[in-house]
Formats: sequence, structure tokens, C-alpha cells
Amino acid sequence: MTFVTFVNQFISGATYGLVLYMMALGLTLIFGVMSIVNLAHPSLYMLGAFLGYFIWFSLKGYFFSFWLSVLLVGLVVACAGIILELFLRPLREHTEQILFTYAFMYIIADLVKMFWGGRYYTLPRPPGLDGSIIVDGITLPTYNLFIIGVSLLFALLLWLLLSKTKLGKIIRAAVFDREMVAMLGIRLPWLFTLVFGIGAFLAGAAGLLAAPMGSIGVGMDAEIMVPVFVVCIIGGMGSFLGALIASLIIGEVYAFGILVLPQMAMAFMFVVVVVILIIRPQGILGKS
Amino acid sequence: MKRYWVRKVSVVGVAILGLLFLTLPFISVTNAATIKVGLITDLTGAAFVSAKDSADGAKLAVERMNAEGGILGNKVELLVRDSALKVDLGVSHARELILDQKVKLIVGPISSGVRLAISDLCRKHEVPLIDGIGGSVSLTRDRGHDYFWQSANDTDGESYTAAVGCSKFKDVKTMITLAPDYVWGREEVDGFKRAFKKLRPDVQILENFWPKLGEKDYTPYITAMIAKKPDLLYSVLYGGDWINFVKQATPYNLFKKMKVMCFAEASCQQGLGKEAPEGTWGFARAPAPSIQTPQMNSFINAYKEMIGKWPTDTSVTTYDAFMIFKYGAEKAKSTDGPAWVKAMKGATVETLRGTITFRECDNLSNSPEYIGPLVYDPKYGYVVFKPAQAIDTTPARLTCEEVMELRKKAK
Repeated sequence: MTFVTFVNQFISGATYGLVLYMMALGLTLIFGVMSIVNLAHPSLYMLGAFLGYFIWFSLKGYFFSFWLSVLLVGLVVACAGIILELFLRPLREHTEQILFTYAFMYIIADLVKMFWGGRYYTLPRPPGLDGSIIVDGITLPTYNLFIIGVSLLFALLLWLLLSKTKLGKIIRAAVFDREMVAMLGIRLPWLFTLVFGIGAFLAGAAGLLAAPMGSIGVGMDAEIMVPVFVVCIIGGMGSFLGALIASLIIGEVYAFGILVLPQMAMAFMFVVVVVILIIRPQGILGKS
Repeated sequence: MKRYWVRKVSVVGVAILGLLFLTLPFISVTNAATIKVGLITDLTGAAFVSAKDSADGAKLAVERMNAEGGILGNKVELLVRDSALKVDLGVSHARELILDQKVKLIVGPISSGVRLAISDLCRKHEVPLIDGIGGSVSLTRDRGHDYFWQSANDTDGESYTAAVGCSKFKDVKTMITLAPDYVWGREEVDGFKRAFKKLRPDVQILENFWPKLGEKDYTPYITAMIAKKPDLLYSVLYGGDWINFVKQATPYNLFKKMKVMCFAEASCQQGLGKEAPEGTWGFARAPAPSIQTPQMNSFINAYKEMIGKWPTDTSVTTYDAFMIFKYGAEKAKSTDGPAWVKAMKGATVETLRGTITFRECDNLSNSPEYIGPLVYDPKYGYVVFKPAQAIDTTPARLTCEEVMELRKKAK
């Protein structure tokens, strides 16, 4: 293996992992704060991709239309997430919540089919991010670099929100002791609605941001379901840093597995998952 | 008092007339027999786009049949069921269609696994099952029977075509393969390797890549593939997988670094539009715009008018499957399974793809498969075969004796 091949494969692994991380961020936030396993999260991601396609094409011609679309899509999907949370609110049992979000997944899938189904859609890469940089024989697609940057930026912003703001302190306090926070006069239901909205915003924005790297079609929710949950679980449900480490491990093991023994690449990845869960059942940075 | 009775009688009379008026159409419909035909397809899940194309092809076929007087003078009713890529669901729908709805034909589904399970049920109840999608060779070999009919190519026919296409690249010395990691993908690559080894023993296959079906990010595969420095890539990715691969491979200039022979079914080319790499070669079951027959042209226009989009390979082959049933029923003068099967043994049928003949021993058709260079066509808005060359896939078949031997062993 030459140095160029090694670096190329390493960067491929990092891209693979960080795209997964971007998709998993909202899910980690919602679970970390509210202990809700939102099975409809991949559906919100799919909704973001479809809405993004049409919003971006409607806004075409305006300056920064892609970035404006990301914001608008995030807000619309956040509204969908808030509606979902309002329905979820009376359900206290985990099984009820899982069943409900599972049903919501099918509702969103059928709505998407009704409005847009029957074909694949593709989005071009936004202007300025459609080329590649070649450094010493190493090809770096600019959009891949951008996605890596955005994933890390989202993670940083969430960390700042949770660690450095008053709202973040309240959210963290609510995770620790809900009753005490409620007794201080803070309206917990609205706080949870806000958190769910932020999680949904991230899912929707990720849908549009990932769209130029692939296709938009019915079924794209199911495609990301397993890898996204794997990242959250082995990172430790609710841990942003854990999810980041997990996504990078998965990405690199997968990338080098493909280079060394392609027919076993998927097996390598899941062997790592199994080993991590045997050593730390709560995930890399999860709390037991 | 008299006025009261006159009013009452008039009201009752009008009501009776109204009821008669409302029920007359139903009386006339129930008097004429309706032939029910079923399409089981995977409308929920990852195969939705192909399944929807299949359902649209079936819809047009039945509409056209009814416009021409139905089958044997009877109206045809299409019943569509969603098997959602699940074997148990597919079997339960097949049971309902056969036992409750008394369908005379089942077409579909997309998944070879679901089709295998339904096939056994169709044999038991003597209802023809026509596979208009194309799939696993098991369906026509060890698990084949009189009630299973293959009107599109199986994996051997398809991979043989790709091998013939690849063998034309004389300057190629090394190559790699890329296929989704499940039964269909594995069979395609195995069939390709068998055929290609005979056609071009001088070409070395450097590596086989097996991403999972529905892979979102092909970046690690792309860099690993480029690192192998092959002359040729043979790919059987399809649908959203091929779109994802193309979009991620383009910035790495993969399509400029090696020749490419890909599975070029229309739905993914339609999705890619102008982003599809020109200069690559493709193989497909029914590339509608490139098959120049009056029947195909009329079908394309009717489909576009009815559905609002251009037909795909799946739309064409599903349409053909229903029309094959009509042909057989008219030949047998019956829609009953045993009579239909007897009439269709060894039959030659006119389809949108030209004339095809079913082999008597295993009901496998000699459907052509197409290869050609992919060129963008502004009329359709996606890359099409220019020109398409129909390849005779019969050399890929096992002999009747070999098939019967396999079936004997399977028992």
C-alpha cells in the first residue's frame, strides 16, 4: 500500500464516518435529553432531502440559495418534528414511543410517495463546491471536505449551546433531574418540544446537505436507519463525542476493510461493533 | 286525500325508477364475466421506484386490453398488492388473490426471494406466474415448474450480455467488478465471470467489490477501486445505488480513469439526467427509447401521456408479461391455468421488444438483452443507448437435460 493510497483511504473513511455523524446528531440529541428513541428520525432526514430539492430549485437564481434552502428546510422539518413531539407527549412508556415513531415513519414515507414518489431526484453540488483539490496525487472532492466541516461545525455549535448558554444549562439540568427543573418554574414540555425541534432541524438539514452526494428517493430513510443507530449505540446513546468517535472508527474500519479484503468489509465493521459492545455495553462514552 | 295518494305514488315511483337507474350498470357488469389478474409488487421499501414503474406498466396493459374488448370478450380487472420485499406478505397476498379473488394470473414481484415463495403457491393452485422483471436463475432451474414463466432475462442471460459487451474492449487487460451484496448481485457476477473467462481468458480480474444494497456512501470503495488501477469496471449497481456511486465517483474522475460497463436500467439514468457519465457502456433488459419498433413507439407515447413520465425497463417488461397472458388465453380460448399452460408451451409471442419464444422444457424465453454506449438525449432528458444492440442470450442457457437433472436433484 502506497502512502497516497493510505491517505486517500483514510480520508474516505473520515468522510464516510462524518456523513453518518451528521445524520446521527439529531438522534443523539433527542435521546440524550429526552430518552426517546425516535425511529422516525431517518424519515425526517428523507423529508429534508425531498423538501430541499424543491425549495432549492424554487429559489434558484438567488444568491446563497443553497444555504437559504438548508435553513428553510431545517425550519420546516423542525415544525414536522414539533408536531411529532406534541403527539408523543402523552406517551410515557418506551415501547409506546417506539411504536408511535415507527408508525410516524410509515406516515411520512407514504406522504412522500404521494407528493413526490415514483422516481429518483438528484441535486447538483452547489456552485463553488463541485470540484476537487488534488494534493500530491491525493484527490479531495471539495463537497466531501465541506460535509466534514459542516458535521464538525454542527457538533461544535451543539456543544456550545449545551455547555455555554443558559438554555443549555437548563437542558442538561433537565436530563439530570426533571422534577427539580420543573419545580424551579421551567415549563419542561416546551423545553422538550424545543429540543425535539432542534433534533428535527438537524435531520432535515442533513437530508439536504447529503443530497448532492447521492440520490433522493423513497427508501432513503431505510438505507440510513441501521448505520445511524449503530453510530449512536456504540458511541453511547446521547453522547455527542462518543458518536463522533464511533463514526470515525466505523468509517476507518470500513474503508481499510474494503482496501484489504472487500468481501469482508461489512463483517469487519460489525465485528468492531460487537467487540465494543462486549467491552462497553453502554457504548464508548455512554453512562451505565 | 286524492292529492295525497297521487303525491305518495309519484314519490314511490320516482324512487323505484331512481333505484333502477342506479343499479342497472351494476346488473350489466355482473352479467358480463370479469377476468381478474394480479400484480404483486414491492411498493413499500427500497424497491418502490421499480415497483411503481411495474404497476404503471400493468395499468397501461390492462387499460389497453379493455379498450380492445378485454380477454375473450371479458373485461379485465387488475388487482395490485404490495409485498414490501417480505416473503410472508407476498405469500399471504398470493393466497388471497388466488383463493379469494380467483385471479387467473399473477405477475411480479421485484424481489426474487418473494417470487420463489409465490411460485410454489402458484404451482399448487395451477395459476400461471409470469416473471416480467428478470431475476434469480433458481426460478427457472431447480425450482422451476410448468406454472412459472420467465419473460425477461434471468441473471445468466443478463451477465452473459455484459460479458459479450466487455469482450469488445480489446485493449483491456485488467478489470474489477462491483455488485450489491445479495443473491442477485452475486449471481450476476458469477455468471459474468463464467462467460467472460471463455470470451477473454487474457483479462485478469483484480478484485470483486461487494457494497451492501442501499449503500449511501461509496467513497471508500471509489478510492480503493482507483488504487487497483484497472482498465475496466463492470458494475451491476442499480437504482439509487448507481446514482449515489456516480455522483460520488465523478469528483474522483473515476470515469476518466477506466472504461465502464454498467447495468443501465432507465430509472437510475432518469434520476441522473445530465449528470450521467457519457462514454460509458451499458446493458439493460428493455431500454425503451432505443428499441425502434412501431409498437414500442406507440407504447412510449401512451405511457408518457398516462403516467406523465418516460417508461423504464420494468414498465416495459411488466406490460409485456400481461400481454403474453392475453395472447395465451386467446390461443387456449380459456383463462384456466392448465389450458393456458398447454397452449403456451413453446409458444412464440409478439412483445414490445420483438418476437420471443418460450422454451418448452422450462418456460424460459429467449428475450434479448441490450448493450450500447450511453449518450445524452435531450428529448428524454437522460442518457440512452445510441445505438442499442440486441444480444442473443441463448448461449448462456443450460440445456433442457441439465435443467431437468437439477430439478430431479432438488426433489
